[in-house]
Amino acid sequence: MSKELHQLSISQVSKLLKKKEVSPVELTKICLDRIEEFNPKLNAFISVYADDAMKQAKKAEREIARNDYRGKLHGVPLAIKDNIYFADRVTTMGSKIHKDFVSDFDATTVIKLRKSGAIFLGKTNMHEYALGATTDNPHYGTCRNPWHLGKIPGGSSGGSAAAVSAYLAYGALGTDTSGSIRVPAAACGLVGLKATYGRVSKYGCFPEAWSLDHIGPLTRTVEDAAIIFDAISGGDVNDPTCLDLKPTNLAKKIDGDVSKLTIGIEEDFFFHFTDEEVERQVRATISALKKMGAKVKTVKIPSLKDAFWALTIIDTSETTAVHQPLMRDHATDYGADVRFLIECGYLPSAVDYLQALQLRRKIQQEVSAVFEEIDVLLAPTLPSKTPSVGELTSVINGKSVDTIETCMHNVGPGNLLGLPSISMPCGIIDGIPVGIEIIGGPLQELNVLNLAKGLESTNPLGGHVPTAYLS
Amino acid sequence: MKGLAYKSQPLQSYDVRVITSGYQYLPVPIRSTMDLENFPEIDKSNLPKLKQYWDYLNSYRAKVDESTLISSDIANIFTSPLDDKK
Repeated sequence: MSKELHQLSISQVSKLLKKKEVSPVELTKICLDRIEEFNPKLNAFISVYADDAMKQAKKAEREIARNDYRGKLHGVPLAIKDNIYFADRVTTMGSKIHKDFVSDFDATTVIKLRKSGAIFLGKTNMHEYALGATTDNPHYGTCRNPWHLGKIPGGSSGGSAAAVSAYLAYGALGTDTSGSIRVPAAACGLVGLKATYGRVSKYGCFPEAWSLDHIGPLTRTVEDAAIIFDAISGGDVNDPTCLDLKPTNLAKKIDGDVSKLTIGIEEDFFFHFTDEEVERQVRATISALKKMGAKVKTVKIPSLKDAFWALTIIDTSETTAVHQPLMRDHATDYGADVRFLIECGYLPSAVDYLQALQLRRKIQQEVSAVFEEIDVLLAPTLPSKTPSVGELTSVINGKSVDTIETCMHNVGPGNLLGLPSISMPCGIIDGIPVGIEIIGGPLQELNVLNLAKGLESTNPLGGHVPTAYLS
Repeated sequence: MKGLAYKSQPLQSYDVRVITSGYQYLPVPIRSTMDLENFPEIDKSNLPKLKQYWDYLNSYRAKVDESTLISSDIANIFTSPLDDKK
Protein backbone atom coordinates (compact mmCIF):
# COMPACT_ATOMS: atom_id res chain seq x y z
CA MET A 1 0.00 0.00 0.00
CA SER A 2 2.77 2.42 0.97
CA LYS A 3 4.33 2.17 -2.44
CA GLU A 4 1.30 3.76 -4.08
CA LEU A 5 0.08 5.87 -1.20
CA HIS A 6 2.14 8.85 -2.23
CA GLN A 7 0.42 8.92 -5.62
CA LEU A 8 -3.11 9.29 -4.26
CA SER A 9 -4.99 12.55 -4.40
CA ILE A 10 -6.04 14.55 -1.36
CA SER A 11 -9.64 13.41 -1.79
CA GLN A 12 -8.48 9.78 -1.91
CA VAL A 13 -6.21 9.91 1.14
CA SER A 14 -8.77 11.91 3.09
CA LYS A 15 -11.22 9.01 2.81
CA LEU A 16 -8.56 6.62 4.10
CA LEU A 17 -7.65 9.00 6.90
CA LYS A 18 -11.26 9.40 7.97
CA LYS A 19 -11.73 5.65 8.06
CA LYS A 20 -8.45 5.37 9.97
CA GLU A 21 -7.04 3.05 7.32
CA VAL A 22 -3.95 5.21 7.07
CA SER A 23 -2.55 7.63 9.59
CA PRO A 24 -1.29 11.19 9.15
CA VAL A 25 2.02 9.97 10.57
CA GLU A 26 2.33 7.40 7.79
CA LEU A 27 1.57 9.98 5.08
CA THR A 28 3.92 12.56 6.55
CA LYS A 29 6.72 10.03 6.86
CA ILE A 30 6.27 9.06 3.22
CA CYS A 31 6.48 12.67 2.10
CA LEU A 32 9.48 13.46 4.29
CA ASP A 33 11.30 10.37 3.03
CA ARG A 34 10.60 11.38 -0.55
CA ILE A 35 11.76 14.94 0.13
CA GLU A 36 14.99 13.61 1.57
CA GLU A 37 15.54 11.35 -1.42
CA PHE A 38 14.47 13.57 -4.31
CA ASN A 39 14.75 17.18 -3.18
CA PRO A 40 18.50 17.28 -3.84
CA LYS A 41 17.68 16.75 -7.53
CA LEU A 42 14.63 18.98 -7.69
CA ASN A 43 15.42 21.86 -5.30
CA ALA A 44 11.70 22.10 -4.62
CA PHE A 45 12.04 23.01 -0.94
CA ILE A 46 13.96 25.83 0.69
CA SER A 47 13.22 24.60 4.20
CA VAL A 48 11.75 21.36 5.51
CA TYR A 49 9.97 21.20 8.87
CA ALA A 50 10.61 17.47 9.44
CA ASP A 51 10.36 17.39 13.23
CA ASP A 52 7.47 19.81 13.42
CA ALA A 53 5.60 18.03 10.61
CA MET A 54 5.85 14.75 12.52
CA LYS A 55 4.57 16.48 15.67
CA GLN A 56 1.63 17.89 13.71
CA ALA A 57 0.99 14.45 12.22
CA LYS A 58 0.94 12.76 15.63
CA LYS A 59 -1.47 15.40 16.88
CA ALA A 60 -3.73 14.88 13.88
CA GLU A 61 -3.53 11.13 14.41
CA ARG A 62 -4.73 11.52 18.00
CA GLU A 63 -7.54 13.83 16.95
CA ILE A 64 -8.79 11.51 14.22
CA ALA A 65 -8.48 8.53 16.56
CA ARG A 66 -10.92 10.16 18.96
CA ASN A 67 -13.27 10.96 16.03
CA ASP A 68 -12.46 14.65 16.10
CA TYR A 69 -12.20 14.72 12.29
CA ARG A 70 -12.07 18.23 10.86
CA GLY A 71 -12.47 17.58 7.16
CA LYS A 72 -10.69 16.61 3.99
CA LEU A 73 -7.39 18.32 4.79
CA HIS A 74 -7.09 16.85 8.27
CA GLY A 75 -3.81 14.97 8.42
CA VAL A 76 -2.85 15.77 4.82
CA PRO A 77 0.77 16.95 4.27
CA LEU A 78 1.03 20.16 2.24
CA ALA A 79 3.83 22.49 1.14
CA ILE A 80 3.75 26.29 1.25
CA LYS A 81 5.53 28.75 -1.01
CA ASP A 82 8.24 30.64 0.81
CA ASN A 83 6.67 34.08 0.49
CA ILE A 84 3.80 33.13 2.82
CA TYR A 85 4.55 33.81 6.48
CA PHE A 86 4.77 31.28 9.27
CA ALA A 87 5.07 32.67 12.81
CA ASP A 88 8.54 32.20 14.26
CA ARG A 89 9.86 30.63 11.08
CA VAL A 90 12.16 32.06 8.44
CA THR A 91 10.36 33.20 5.29
CA THR A 92 12.95 34.02 2.66
CA MET A 93 10.82 35.15 -0.35
CA GLY A 94 13.48 33.19 -2.24
CA SER A 95 15.87 36.06 -1.59
CA LYS A 96 19.22 36.76 0.00
CA ILE A 97 17.90 39.99 1.47
CA HIS A 98 15.21 38.24 3.51
CA LYS A 99 17.22 35.09 4.24
CA ASP A 100 16.85 35.61 7.99
CA PHE A 101 13.41 37.21 8.05
CA VAL A 102 11.18 35.76 10.77
CA SER A 103 7.55 36.78 10.89
CA ASP A 104 5.84 37.06 14.26
CA PHE A 105 2.49 36.00 12.81
CA ASP A 106 0.98 33.39 10.51
CA ALA A 107 -0.48 34.36 7.16
CA THR A 108 -4.27 34.08 7.08
CA THR A 109 -4.03 31.19 4.60
CA VAL A 110 -1.70 29.37 7.00
CA ILE A 111 -4.10 29.96 9.91
CA LYS A 112 -6.99 28.60 7.85
CA LEU A 113 -5.09 25.52 6.70
CA ARG A 114 -3.89 24.89 10.25
CA LYS A 115 -7.49 25.01 11.45
CA SER A 116 -8.45 22.53 8.76
CA GLY A 117 -5.86 20.13 10.16
CA ALA A 118 -3.35 20.23 7.31
CA ILE A 119 0.25 19.32 8.06
CA PHE A 120 3.00 21.65 6.89
CA LEU A 121 6.01 19.91 5.40
CA GLY A 122 8.01 23.06 4.74
CA LYS A 123 8.48 26.03 2.45
CA THR A 124 9.02 25.74 -1.27
CA ASN A 125 11.54 27.26 -3.64
CA MET A 126 10.40 30.14 -5.81
CA HIS A 127 11.64 32.73 -8.23
CA GLU A 128 13.24 35.44 -6.08
CA TYR A 129 10.45 37.67 -4.69
CA ALA A 130 8.09 35.92 -7.13
CA LEU A 131 9.55 38.11 -9.89
CA GLY A 132 10.02 35.61 -12.68
CA ALA A 133 8.68 32.51 -14.35
CA THR A 134 11.58 30.06 -14.19
CA THR A 135 12.37 29.43 -10.48
CA ASP A 136 16.02 29.56 -11.48
CA ASN A 137 16.98 30.90 -8.07
CA PRO A 138 20.55 32.18 -7.58
CA HIS A 139 20.33 31.92 -3.79
CA TYR A 140 18.61 28.57 -3.19
CA GLY A 141 19.40 26.69 -6.37
CA THR A 142 17.68 26.00 -9.66
CA CYS A 143 14.38 24.23 -9.24
CA ARG A 144 13.90 21.39 -11.76
CA ASN A 145 10.88 20.02 -13.57
CA PRO A 146 10.15 16.42 -12.40
CA TRP A 147 9.09 15.51 -15.95
CA HIS A 148 12.43 16.60 -17.44
CA LEU A 149 15.23 17.90 -15.25
CA GLY A 150 16.50 20.14 -18.05
CA LYS A 151 13.18 21.98 -18.25
CA ILE A 152 11.94 24.74 -15.99
CA PRO A 153 9.15 23.89 -13.56
CA GLY A 154 7.67 27.29 -14.37
CA GLY A 155 7.44 30.06 -11.85
CA SER A 156 7.37 31.80 -9.70
CA SER A 157 5.74 28.98 -7.67
CA GLY A 158 8.02 26.39 -9.29
CA GLY A 159 8.99 24.70 -6.03
CA SER A 160 5.36 24.15 -5.07
CA ALA A 161 4.65 22.65 -8.49
CA ALA A 162 7.73 20.42 -8.49
CA ALA A 163 6.94 19.19 -4.97
CA VAL A 164 3.36 18.19 -5.82
CA SER A 165 4.26 16.79 -9.24
CA ALA A 166 6.99 14.55 -7.79
CA TYR A 167 4.71 13.38 -4.94
CA LEU A 168 6.73 15.12 -2.25
CA ALA A 169 3.49 16.74 -1.01
CA TYR A 170 -0.20 16.15 -1.64
CA GLY A 171 -0.84 19.77 -2.50
CA ALA A 172 0.74 23.18 -2.14
CA LEU A 173 0.05 26.88 -1.96
CA GLY A 174 1.48 29.19 -4.58
CA THR A 175 1.05 32.83 -5.42
CA ASP A 176 0.09 34.30 -8.77
CA THR A 177 0.67 37.89 -9.93
CA SER A 178 1.26 37.27 -13.63
CA GLY A 179 0.61 33.56 -13.91
CA SER A 180 2.86 32.26 -11.14
CA ILE A 181 0.48 29.44 -10.16
CA ARG A 182 -0.81 28.56 -13.62
CA VAL A 183 2.50 28.56 -15.49
CA PRO A 184 4.10 26.05 -13.07
CA ALA A 185 0.90 23.99 -13.14
CA ALA A 186 1.12 23.82 -16.92
CA ALA A 187 4.82 22.97 -16.92
CA CYS A 188 4.48 20.23 -14.29
CA GLY A 189 1.18 18.63 -15.36
CA LEU A 190 -0.84 19.93 -12.41
CA VAL A 191 -4.01 21.79 -11.65
CA GLY A 192 -3.32 25.39 -10.60
CA LEU A 193 -6.15 27.64 -9.47
CA LYS A 194 -6.11 31.40 -9.10
CA ALA A 195 -9.55 32.47 -7.92
CA THR A 196 -11.27 35.84 -8.29
CA TYR A 197 -9.16 38.72 -6.93
CA GLY A 198 -9.97 39.12 -3.25
CA ARG A 199 -11.47 35.64 -2.74
CA VAL A 200 -8.41 34.57 -0.76
CA SER A 201 -6.76 36.76 1.85
CA LYS A 202 -3.21 37.84 1.10
CA TYR A 203 -2.51 38.95 4.67
CA GLY A 204 0.90 37.63 5.60
CA CYS A 205 2.11 37.21 2.05
CA PHE A 206 4.98 39.36 0.83
CA PRO A 207 3.51 41.48 -1.97
CA GLU A 208 4.68 41.54 -5.54
CA ALA A 209 2.11 43.89 -7.06
CA TRP A 210 -0.82 44.51 -4.76
CA SER A 211 -3.54 44.92 -7.35
CA LEU A 212 -2.54 41.73 -9.18
CA ASP A 213 -1.51 39.35 -6.37
CA HIS A 214 -3.39 36.14 -5.60
CA ILE A 215 -2.80 33.04 -3.45
CA GLY A 216 -4.07 29.65 -4.58
CA PRO A 217 -3.54 25.89 -4.70
CA LEU A 218 -1.43 23.61 -6.89
CA THR A 219 -2.73 20.06 -6.85
CA ARG A 220 -2.89 16.85 -8.84
CA THR A 221 -6.68 16.89 -9.33
CA VAL A 222 -9.43 19.43 -9.82
CA GLU A 223 -11.29 18.29 -6.70
CA ASP A 224 -8.12 18.72 -4.64
CA ALA A 225 -7.77 22.29 -5.90
CA ALA A 226 -11.35 22.97 -4.80
CA ILE A 227 -10.72 21.37 -1.38
CA ILE A 228 -7.77 23.67 -0.67
CA PHE A 229 -9.53 26.69 -2.18
CA ASP A 230 -12.58 26.07 0.02
CA ALA A 231 -10.30 25.96 3.06
CA ILE A 232 -8.45 29.23 2.36
CA SER A 233 -11.25 31.34 0.82
CA GLY A 234 -13.37 33.90 2.63
CA GLY A 235 -13.22 37.45 3.93
CA ASP A 236 -10.44 38.77 6.14
CA VAL A 237 -10.49 42.14 7.88
CA ASN A 238 -6.70 42.14 7.86
CA ASP A 239 -6.60 42.32 4.05
CA PRO A 240 -8.36 45.41 2.70
CA THR A 241 -8.46 43.91 -0.79
CA CYS A 242 -10.21 40.77 0.43
CA LEU A 243 -13.89 40.47 -0.47
CA ASP A 244 -16.31 40.22 2.42
CA LEU A 245 -17.62 36.82 1.40
CA LYS A 246 -18.10 33.51 3.18
CA PRO A 247 -15.72 30.63 2.45
CA THR A 248 -16.73 28.64 -0.59
CA ASN A 249 -17.96 25.07 -0.56
CA LEU A 250 -17.24 24.11 -4.14
CA ALA A 251 -15.61 20.70 -3.75
CA LYS A 252 -19.02 19.18 -3.11
CA LYS A 253 -20.64 21.03 -6.00
CA ILE A 254 -18.32 20.12 -8.87
CA ASP A 255 -20.06 17.70 -11.20
CA GLY A 256 -17.91 18.02 -14.32
CA ASP A 257 -20.99 18.51 -16.47
CA VAL A 258 -19.68 20.56 -19.40
CA SER A 259 -22.94 20.40 -21.35
CA LYS A 260 -24.32 23.39 -19.47
CA LEU A 261 -21.29 25.53 -20.29
CA THR A 262 -20.55 27.82 -23.22
CA ILE A 263 -16.86 28.14 -24.05
CA GLY A 264 -15.57 31.34 -25.64
CA ILE A 265 -12.57 31.25 -27.97
CA GLU A 266 -10.75 34.55 -28.51
CA GLU A 267 -8.47 33.84 -31.44
CA ASP A 268 -6.74 37.19 -31.88
CA PHE A 269 -5.17 37.45 -28.44
CA PHE A 270 -4.89 33.91 -27.12
CA PHE A 271 -4.09 31.99 -30.30
CA HIS A 272 -2.38 34.48 -32.57
CA PHE A 273 1.14 33.25 -31.91
CA THR A 274 1.15 29.75 -30.48
CA ASP A 275 3.47 26.82 -31.00
CA GLU A 276 1.87 24.63 -33.66
CA GLU A 277 1.97 21.44 -31.59
CA VAL A 278 0.62 23.19 -28.51
CA GLU A 279 -2.15 24.76 -30.58
CA ARG A 280 -3.04 21.39 -32.10
CA GLN A 281 -3.29 19.87 -28.62
CA VAL A 282 -5.45 22.68 -27.27
CA ARG A 283 -7.78 22.66 -30.27
CA ALA A 284 -8.14 18.87 -29.96
CA THR A 285 -9.15 19.43 -26.35
CA ILE A 286 -11.73 22.01 -27.38
CA SER A 287 -13.14 19.51 -29.91
CA ALA A 288 -13.31 16.85 -27.20
CA LEU A 289 -15.20 19.21 -24.90
CA LYS A 290 -17.57 20.00 -27.74
CA LYS A 291 -18.24 16.30 -28.22
CA MET A 292 -18.99 16.10 -24.50
CA GLY A 293 -21.73 18.66 -24.98
CA ALA A 294 -20.07 22.00 -24.33
CA LYS A 295 -21.09 24.84 -26.62
CA VAL A 296 -18.22 26.66 -28.31
CA LYS A 297 -18.44 30.23 -29.50
CA THR A 298 -15.92 32.54 -31.13
CA VAL A 299 -15.70 35.90 -29.35
CA LYS A 300 -13.90 39.17 -29.97
CA ILE A 301 -12.25 41.23 -27.25
CA PRO A 302 -10.27 43.84 -29.22
CA SER A 303 -9.02 45.74 -26.18
CA LEU A 304 -7.05 42.69 -25.05
CA LYS A 305 -4.36 43.96 -27.41
CA ASP A 306 -3.51 46.45 -24.64
CA ALA A 307 -3.56 43.84 -21.86
CA PHE A 308 0.15 43.07 -21.87
CA TRP A 309 1.06 46.74 -21.82
CA ALA A 310 -1.31 47.50 -18.97
CA LEU A 311 -0.16 44.48 -16.99
CA THR A 312 3.51 45.31 -17.50
CA ILE A 313 3.08 48.90 -16.37
CA ILE A 314 1.00 48.03 -13.33
CA ASP A 315 3.17 45.08 -12.36
CA THR A 316 6.52 46.84 -12.65
CA SER A 317 5.29 50.08 -11.04
CA GLU A 318 3.72 48.38 -8.02
CA THR A 319 6.66 45.98 -7.68
CA THR A 320 9.21 48.77 -7.67
CA ALA A 321 7.15 50.74 -5.16
CA VAL A 322 7.31 47.68 -2.89
CA HIS A 323 11.04 47.20 -3.42
CA GLN A 324 12.20 50.82 -3.44
CA PRO A 325 13.29 50.78 0.24
CA LEU A 326 15.17 47.51 -0.28
CA MET A 327 16.78 48.74 -3.48
CA ARG A 328 18.30 51.71 -1.68
CA ASP A 329 20.36 49.57 0.67
CA HIS A 330 20.47 46.10 -0.87
CA ALA A 331 20.49 46.53 -4.65
CA THR A 332 23.51 44.29 -5.10
CA ASP A 333 21.90 41.48 -3.11
CA TYR A 334 19.22 40.86 -5.75
CA GLY A 335 19.73 38.32 -8.50
CA ALA A 336 20.59 40.02 -11.79
CA ASP A 337 17.27 39.32 -13.55
CA VAL A 338 15.16 40.42 -10.60
CA ARG A 339 17.18 43.58 -10.07
CA PHE A 340 16.67 44.46 -13.72
CA LEU A 341 12.90 43.94 -13.47
CA ILE A 342 12.74 46.20 -10.44
CA GLU A 343 14.80 48.82 -12.28
CA CYS A 344 12.28 48.68 -15.12
CA GLY A 345 9.66 49.88 -12.67
CA TYR A 346 11.41 53.25 -12.40
CA LEU A 347 10.62 54.04 -16.02
CA PRO A 348 6.82 54.22 -16.32
CA SER A 349 5.42 57.62 -15.41
CA ALA A 350 2.47 58.30 -13.14
CA VAL A 351 0.49 58.99 -16.31
CA ASP A 352 1.48 55.59 -17.69
CA TYR A 353 0.33 53.88 -14.50
CA LEU A 354 -2.98 55.69 -14.38
CA GLN A 355 -3.64 55.09 -18.06
CA ALA A 356 -2.84 51.43 -17.51
CA LEU A 357 -5.52 51.37 -14.82
CA GLN A 358 -7.92 53.03 -17.26
CA LEU A 359 -7.05 50.45 -19.90
CA ARG A 360 -7.67 47.74 -17.34
CA ARG A 361 -11.17 49.10 -16.81
CA LYS A 362 -11.79 49.36 -20.54
CA ILE A 363 -10.74 45.73 -21.07
CA GLN A 364 -12.81 44.72 -18.08
CA GLN A 365 -15.92 46.28 -19.62
CA GLU A 366 -15.41 44.45 -22.90
CA VAL A 367 -14.75 41.17 -21.14
CA SER A 368 -17.84 41.63 -18.94
CA ALA A 369 -19.96 42.06 -22.05
CA VAL A 370 -18.50 38.87 -23.52
CA PHE A 371 -19.22 36.95 -20.33
CA GLU A 372 -22.90 37.75 -20.85
CA GLU A 373 -22.75 35.26 -23.73
CA ILE A 374 -20.23 32.69 -22.50
CA ASP A 375 -19.30 30.98 -19.24
CA VAL A 376 -15.58 30.50 -19.74
CA LEU A 377 -12.73 31.46 -22.03
CA LEU A 378 -10.28 28.76 -23.11
CA ALA A 379 -6.66 29.30 -24.15
CA PRO A 380 -3.28 27.61 -24.08
CA THR A 381 -1.71 28.38 -20.71
CA LEU A 382 1.69 28.74 -22.36
CA PRO A 383 1.89 29.65 -26.07
CA SER A 384 5.18 27.75 -26.25
CA LYS A 385 6.43 24.35 -25.16
CA THR A 386 7.97 24.33 -21.70
CA PRO A 387 11.29 26.25 -21.92
CA SER A 388 14.62 24.74 -20.92
CA VAL A 389 16.49 25.81 -17.79
CA GLY A 390 18.61 28.89 -18.45
CA GLU A 391 16.84 29.73 -21.69
CA LEU A 392 16.24 33.47 -21.86
CA THR A 393 14.51 33.06 -25.19
CA SER A 394 12.11 30.38 -26.37
CA VAL A 395 11.23 29.34 -29.88
CA ILE A 396 7.70 29.44 -31.26
CA ASN A 397 7.35 28.09 -34.78
CA GLY A 398 10.97 28.88 -35.54
CA LYS A 399 10.87 32.41 -34.16
CA SER A 400 12.82 33.41 -31.05
CA VAL A 401 10.73 35.04 -28.33
CA ASP A 402 11.40 36.29 -24.80
CA THR A 403 10.72 33.45 -22.35
CA ILE A 404 9.25 35.63 -19.59
CA GLU A 405 6.94 37.55 -21.94
CA THR A 406 5.81 34.28 -23.48
CA CYS A 407 5.03 32.79 -20.10
CA MET A 408 3.04 35.86 -19.06
CA HIS A 409 1.09 36.48 -22.26
CA ASN A 410 -1.98 34.28 -21.92
CA VAL A 411 -2.15 34.15 -18.13
CA GLY A 412 -1.71 37.89 -17.57
CA PRO A 413 -5.30 38.94 -18.31
CA GLY A 414 -6.54 36.75 -15.45
CA ASN A 415 -4.48 38.87 -13.06
CA LEU A 416 -5.15 42.18 -14.75
CA LEU A 417 -8.91 41.61 -14.58
CA GLY A 418 -8.96 39.59 -11.36
CA LEU A 419 -10.85 36.75 -13.04
CA PRO A 420 -10.85 33.18 -11.74
CA SER A 421 -8.49 31.08 -13.85
CA ILE A 422 -7.24 27.55 -13.73
CA SER A 423 -4.56 25.71 -15.65
CA MET A 424 -4.78 22.00 -16.07
CA PRO A 425 -3.11 19.41 -18.27
CA CYS A 426 -4.60 18.80 -21.70
CA GLY A 427 -1.95 16.48 -23.17
CA ILE A 428 1.72 15.70 -23.51
CA ILE A 429 4.28 16.79 -26.12
CA ASP A 430 7.76 15.25 -26.13
CA GLY A 431 7.13 13.77 -22.70
CA ILE A 432 6.25 17.13 -21.11
CA PRO A 433 2.69 18.14 -20.15
CA VAL A 434 0.83 20.90 -21.98
CA GLY A 435 -1.56 23.14 -20.05
CA ILE A 436 -4.88 24.64 -20.98
CA GLU A 437 -6.22 27.73 -19.22
CA ILE A 438 -9.86 28.17 -18.29
CA ILE A 439 -10.94 31.70 -17.35
CA GLY A 440 -14.31 32.43 -15.79
CA GLY A 441 -16.39 35.49 -14.97
CA PRO A 442 -16.06 37.23 -11.59
CA LEU A 443 -16.79 34.81 -8.71
CA GLN A 444 -17.67 32.06 -11.18
CA GLU A 445 -15.07 29.60 -9.89
CA LEU A 446 -17.62 26.80 -10.15
CA ASN A 447 -17.84 27.16 -13.94
CA VAL A 448 -14.06 27.03 -14.19
CA LEU A 449 -13.83 23.97 -11.93
CA ASN A 450 -16.68 22.18 -13.70
CA LEU A 451 -15.09 22.51 -17.11
CA ALA A 452 -11.75 21.46 -15.65
CA LYS A 453 -13.37 18.44 -14.02
CA GLY A 454 -15.04 17.49 -17.28
CA LEU A 455 -11.72 17.74 -19.06
CA GLU A 456 -10.03 15.74 -16.32
CA SER A 457 -12.45 12.88 -16.98
CA THR A 458 -10.87 12.46 -20.43
CA ASN A 459 -7.58 11.47 -18.72
CA PRO A 460 -5.54 14.12 -20.58
CA LEU A 461 -2.16 12.82 -19.38
CA GLY A 462 -3.05 9.29 -20.45
CA GLY A 463 -1.79 7.82 -17.21
CA HIS A 464 1.71 9.24 -17.68
CA VAL A 465 3.52 10.36 -14.53
CA PRO A 466 6.82 12.18 -14.11
CA THR A 467 9.81 9.87 -13.76
CA ALA A 468 12.82 11.99 -14.77
CA TYR A 469 13.67 12.79 -11.14
CA LEU A 470 13.75 9.10 -10.15
CA SER A 471 16.96 8.16 -11.97
CA MET B 1 4.10 71.86 -34.18
CA LYS B 2 7.74 71.01 -33.94
CA GLY B 3 9.29 72.07 -30.68
CA LEU B 4 12.63 72.22 -29.02
CA ALA B 5 14.00 70.35 -26.09
CA TYR B 6 16.57 71.99 -23.88
CA LYS B 7 19.60 69.80 -23.47
CA SER B 8 22.20 70.44 -20.82
CA GLN B 9 24.51 67.92 -22.45
CA PRO B 10 24.39 65.57 -25.40
CA LEU B 11 22.22 62.53 -24.78
CA GLN B 12 24.17 59.32 -24.92
CA SER B 13 22.92 56.33 -26.80
CA TYR B 14 21.86 54.52 -23.64
CA ASP B 15 20.57 57.65 -21.89
CA VAL B 16 16.90 57.29 -21.07
CA ARG B 17 16.42 60.85 -19.86
CA VAL B 18 13.72 63.08 -21.17
CA ILE B 19 14.63 66.60 -20.24
CA THR B 20 11.68 68.57 -18.95
CA SER B 21 13.37 71.69 -17.68
CA GLY B 22 13.82 74.78 -19.82
CA TYR B 23 11.53 73.59 -22.58
CA GLN B 24 8.86 75.40 -24.52
CA TYR B 25 7.59 72.66 -26.73
CA LEU B 26 8.70 69.09 -26.98
CA PRO B 27 8.56 66.88 -30.03
CA VAL B 28 7.43 63.99 -27.82
CA PRO B 29 5.03 63.96 -24.90
CA ILE B 30 6.60 64.76 -21.55
CA ARG B 31 6.82 61.53 -19.61
CA SER B 32 9.41 61.59 -16.93
CA THR B 33 12.44 63.33 -15.53
CA MET B 34 14.09 60.05 -14.64
CA ASP B 35 17.85 60.19 -14.85
CA LEU B 36 18.78 56.61 -14.26
CA GLU B 37 22.51 57.21 -14.48
CA ASN B 38 22.30 59.09 -11.22
CA PHE B 39 20.28 56.45 -9.41
CA PRO B 40 22.80 54.68 -7.19
CA GLU B 41 20.65 51.56 -7.04
CA ILE B 42 20.68 51.10 -10.82
CA ASP B 43 23.14 48.56 -12.15
CA LYS B 44 24.90 50.56 -14.86
CA SER B 45 25.41 47.45 -16.96
CA ASN B 46 21.62 47.29 -17.26
CA LEU B 47 21.36 50.72 -18.91
CA PRO B 48 21.32 49.40 -22.49
CA LYS B 49 18.52 46.97 -21.64
CA LEU B 50 16.65 49.68 -19.76
CA LYS B 51 16.95 51.88 -22.83
CA GLN B 52 15.30 49.09 -24.81
CA TYR B 53 12.49 48.97 -22.28
CA TRP B 54 12.18 52.75 -22.44
CA ASP B 55 11.93 52.54 -26.22
CA TYR B 56 9.22 49.90 -25.85
CA LEU B 57 7.33 52.16 -23.44
CA ASN B 58 7.60 55.07 -25.85
CA SER B 59 6.55 53.06 -28.86
CA TYR B 60 3.54 51.70 -27.03
CA ARG B 61 2.61 55.07 -25.60
CA ALA B 62 2.16 56.21 -29.15
CA LYS B 63 -0.25 53.35 -29.79
CA VAL B 64 -2.49 53.89 -26.78
CA ASP B 65 -5.71 55.43 -28.00
CA GLU B 66 -6.06 58.09 -25.33
CA SER B 67 -9.33 59.32 -26.81
CA THR B 68 -10.99 56.17 -25.49
CA LEU B 69 -9.66 56.74 -22.00
CA ILE B 70 -11.31 60.04 -21.20
CA SER B 71 -14.86 58.97 -20.47
CA SER B 72 -15.88 59.52 -16.88
CA ASP B 73 -16.61 55.83 -16.68
CA ILE B 74 -13.14 54.63 -17.53
CA ALA B 75 -11.48 57.56 -15.82
CA ASN B 76 -12.80 56.14 -12.59
CA ILE B 77 -9.70 54.12 -12.03
CA PHE B 78 -10.91 52.05 -9.13
CA THR B 79 -11.29 48.60 -10.59
CA SER B 80 -12.53 45.43 -9.09
CA PRO B 81 -13.79 42.27 -10.72
CA LEU B 82 -17.03 42.89 -8.87
CA ASP B 83 -17.66 46.42 -10.13
CA ASP B 84 -20.50 45.32 -12.33
CA LYS B 85 -22.06 43.26 -9.57
CA LYS B 86 -22.18 46.01 -6.99
